[in-house]
Amino acid sequence: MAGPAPRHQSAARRSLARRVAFIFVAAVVITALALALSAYFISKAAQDQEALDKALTQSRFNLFLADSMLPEAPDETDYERLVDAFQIRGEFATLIDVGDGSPYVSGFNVTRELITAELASKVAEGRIGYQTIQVSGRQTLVVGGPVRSGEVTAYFFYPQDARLAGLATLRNILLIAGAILTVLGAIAGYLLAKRLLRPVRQASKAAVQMSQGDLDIRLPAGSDEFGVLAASFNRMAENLQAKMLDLEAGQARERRFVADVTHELRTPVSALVGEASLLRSKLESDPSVCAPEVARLVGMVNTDIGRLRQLVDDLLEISRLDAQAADTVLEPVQLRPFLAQLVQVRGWSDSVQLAVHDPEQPVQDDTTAPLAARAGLIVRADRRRLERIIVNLVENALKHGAAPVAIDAREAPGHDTQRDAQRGLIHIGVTDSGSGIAVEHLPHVFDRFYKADPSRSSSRGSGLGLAIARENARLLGGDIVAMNVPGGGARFVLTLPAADS
Amino acid sequence: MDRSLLVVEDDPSLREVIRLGLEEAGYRVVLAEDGPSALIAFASSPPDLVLLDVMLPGLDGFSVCRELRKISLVPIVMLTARASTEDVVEGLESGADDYVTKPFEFPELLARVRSALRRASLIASAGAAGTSPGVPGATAAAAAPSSAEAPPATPSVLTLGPLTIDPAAYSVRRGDDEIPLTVTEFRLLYELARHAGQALTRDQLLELVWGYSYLGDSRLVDVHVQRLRAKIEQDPGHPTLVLTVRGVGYRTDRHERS
Repeated sequence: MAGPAPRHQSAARRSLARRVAFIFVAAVVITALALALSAYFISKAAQDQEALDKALTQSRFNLFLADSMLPEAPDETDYERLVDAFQIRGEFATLIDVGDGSPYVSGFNVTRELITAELASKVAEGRIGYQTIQVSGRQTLVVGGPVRSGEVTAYFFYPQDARLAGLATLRNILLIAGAILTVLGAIAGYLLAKRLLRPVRQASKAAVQMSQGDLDIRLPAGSDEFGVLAASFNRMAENLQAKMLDLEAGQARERRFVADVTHELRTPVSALVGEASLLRSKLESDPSVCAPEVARLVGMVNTDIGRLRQLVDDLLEISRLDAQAADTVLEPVQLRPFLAQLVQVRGWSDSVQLAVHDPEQPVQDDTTAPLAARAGLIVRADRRRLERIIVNLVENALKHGAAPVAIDAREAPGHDTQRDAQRGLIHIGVTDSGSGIAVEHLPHVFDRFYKADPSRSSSRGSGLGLAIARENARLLGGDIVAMNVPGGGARFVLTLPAADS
Repeated sequence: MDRSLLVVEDDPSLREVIRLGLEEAGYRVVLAEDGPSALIAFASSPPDLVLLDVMLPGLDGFSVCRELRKISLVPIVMLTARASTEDVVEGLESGADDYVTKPFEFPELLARVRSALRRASLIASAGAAGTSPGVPGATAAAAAPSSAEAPPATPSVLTLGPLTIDPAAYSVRRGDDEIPLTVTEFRLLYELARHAGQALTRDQLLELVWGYSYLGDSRLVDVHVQRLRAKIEQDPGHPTLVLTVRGVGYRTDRHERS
């Protein structure tokens, strides 16, 4: 059952790391984007301004040149010469509009229609104007101005595409740089997050280990913020450990005391058992030895010594189980003959029904299956402990429930999918025909000396039978659960590992 | 005719009740309260059986048992703490034939004592009686027939590999060398050899050798087989005479003798 908790923890931790990395990447992307955009736009604005200044300077010079080159009454030839002169510069196109509808043009192919009314009107006012337009798909800066106080206007077209291509290259470089920066940022962010979260990871791992009972775990001390956490955690662990040790020592003392007391009781009880049984067998062989009421008293003494013996036996066994001094001899045990023999030897044939569901065999309810007749269900267990468990369960069923008691055994269902990973389990059920266990008592039936009804006499057992049965089951790598069956009756199910076949 | 028993028990009450009960049952009882006095009592007058408590002050029961085994093959029944495997196995390994866990009801102790004493006398009749190793029932040891009722017969001498087993003379020989076996070890070997070629389960062996199946447990058989192997096998780690049948029990093979 330890699986889901750590998996959950690690998922939370992963998402925390992812969150930190994500925030880091976002910060890097925003920074890179801001840097790139501002670099691009500042650069673009500067270039635009420079290009405009250059175009204006050139245009003013051109206009001045035109003023000085054109005669008082220029004819067609004069204009042609002028535009040809401008063409020598080659960097721009020239259009001179003399107002007759057929302008003079040089450089690349430009027309009067390219000039917007807005620009034309500005120039008509005798000022120098400029505008950015598209000339056959190329971005072009056009600067216009009056020649000879306005009767002629000249426009100069400066292509901007080469410059814009440079800007595009710059933009691409910035984009690539930004992308590289983002990737580097992501890697750095992830590594940073991992590094930053290492103490968190350690703390979370330590907490998980601690919750699983490892109180020896400590966090490495540090001088940063995590150092404080680590110190607190370690202090907590130490306190907890000290408390646990105290508690364990107390419990150990208590158990030791019970074990010692029981041990001391054993010798006189052994003598008592021997004496009383000898007395009884003497009376049985010759009833005339004493008066009938004395004989009755001898019987009562025997019964009570039997109870005392049972109690001492049970206390000794549970002390040994507590001290983990109980030894086991694990071997394959064939359930059918084992249970059949147990029922027979214990004299339960009248009150106990046996149903061993051997795999791939019809259900049989016999109590006399011959030894080693079939393999059938085989558990891996210690014979004596298994016998102890079954005897305690059946005796409990007969004492507190009612006959008939049914013992059934079958393979535990629902393990087919994990059959390779996990050895099979076998369920052995002991069901009585009584009225069941009240729901409020169900969780406590395995408690030591638990009495379902405090007013009832405790004369029917040591109060340790079920506790011993469960301790033994756990010692064998299994467990016992108690439940009620529909229609009344208590059912105890012992789960044991199947033997390797 | 009275069989004599040596009872070694440190608790005076228990010692007294065992003495009372055994004397009542017709045995002669010698008491000892610790290990050294038990060894002295044994040396002065060897009994037919020793009832030996494990928990003794000073020299413990296991040590006493080992000391006794150095000088005698007498049947030894241990009184051990309840269900403690270490005690049971150590007791058996130190040479005990059987054990009774404390606290015990007196009739149970008496049954074990009788069963251990009867083992030797049963040998003589077993060969002819042909007791088949059937399903072990709940038959208590006390209910088994006594040797007096069994038909007298001359049991046959058996051979197992290099061993000659003579139930009448109670001897096992390898060539001319006699191998000293306790009655229980002898009986175990005898039953295995008598059923040569047939695997006997631990339960069957318990019934055949100890006279009961359910009161005892398989460790009795396993530890005695180990002890037997240590005495009869050339290499007890790789037995060739008494073989283990995994998951079942033990068997011996029929040996073709030329």
